[in-house]
Amino acid sequence: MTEKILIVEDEPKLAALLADYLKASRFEVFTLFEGTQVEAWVRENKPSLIILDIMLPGRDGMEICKAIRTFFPYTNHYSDSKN
Amino acid sequence: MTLEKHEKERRQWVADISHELRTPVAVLQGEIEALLDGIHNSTPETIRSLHAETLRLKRLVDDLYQISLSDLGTLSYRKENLDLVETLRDSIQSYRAEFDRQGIALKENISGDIKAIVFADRERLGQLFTNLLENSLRYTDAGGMLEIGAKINGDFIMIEFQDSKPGVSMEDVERLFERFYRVEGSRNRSSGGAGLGLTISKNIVDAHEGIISAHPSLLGGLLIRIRIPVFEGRQ
Repeated sequence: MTEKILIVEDEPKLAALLADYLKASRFEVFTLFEGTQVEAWVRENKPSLIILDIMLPGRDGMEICKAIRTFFPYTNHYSDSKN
Repeated sequence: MTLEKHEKERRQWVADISHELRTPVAVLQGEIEALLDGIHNSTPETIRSLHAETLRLKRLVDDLYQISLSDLGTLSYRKENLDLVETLRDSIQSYRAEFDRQGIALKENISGDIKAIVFADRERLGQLFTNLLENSLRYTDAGGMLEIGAKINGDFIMIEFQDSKPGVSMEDVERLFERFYRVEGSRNRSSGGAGLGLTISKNIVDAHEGIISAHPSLLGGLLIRIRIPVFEGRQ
């Protein structure tokens, strides 16, 4: 079964780039461009990895990360150095 | 303003510039690497995307340069006596097709006889009107409208750009002329703006001894009102 990866990024070109690289490595990739739909999507689809931007329209990445940890308590998270 | 506050603002300005430059550079870098890595193919479409990003970057750098010159007081204005209404009409005309294409009605509410001779820089005035037209294009929902009015009011000409939804909150209205300020929801670069257009517009109006202000519009969107002194006007 291919692993599911969710990209949350409000800059469409950056999201598309990441998605193209991951697809080339045979991951199943989904993209969301704003913060409000993320929590519900994650509950339903249970991705193996989420690439989450911090500054997002709707709901910011830190808040989303905290919310996800309440129902996926063993989530590891890594911060990009730029943030 | 205290020296400390000034220094804080300066640092914020540099931080904001770096932030705004980073995204187009990251996109360019990523797209070029994707070509090199064979993830993307070199097609007219991928080249166009690189070109569009370069143009966006250039526009941003040009805007920043203009603001810096304005801050230093070295932005040169080539002023002459000209009819502001004519410049306004020319700017509107050049945007008609784009408004049509995006399904936004562009209504000109300017009487045929009106004339307003001002001492102004034609190119900068054109830039002012272009900035306002572009803002309306970006931040007005399809099916909406932009209404542009102009009338002589004593020693001034008053110009109004009034558009339909989405609206802007009172809190946002007060901050629209700040550098890099964008209303939440319009921050996404796909809408195009870096949040410098109104700052530049205000600099241009200031340089013409005028006043520019923002208000909620009766049409449901934003109203931008400009007053510029005229020395020969006809209603």
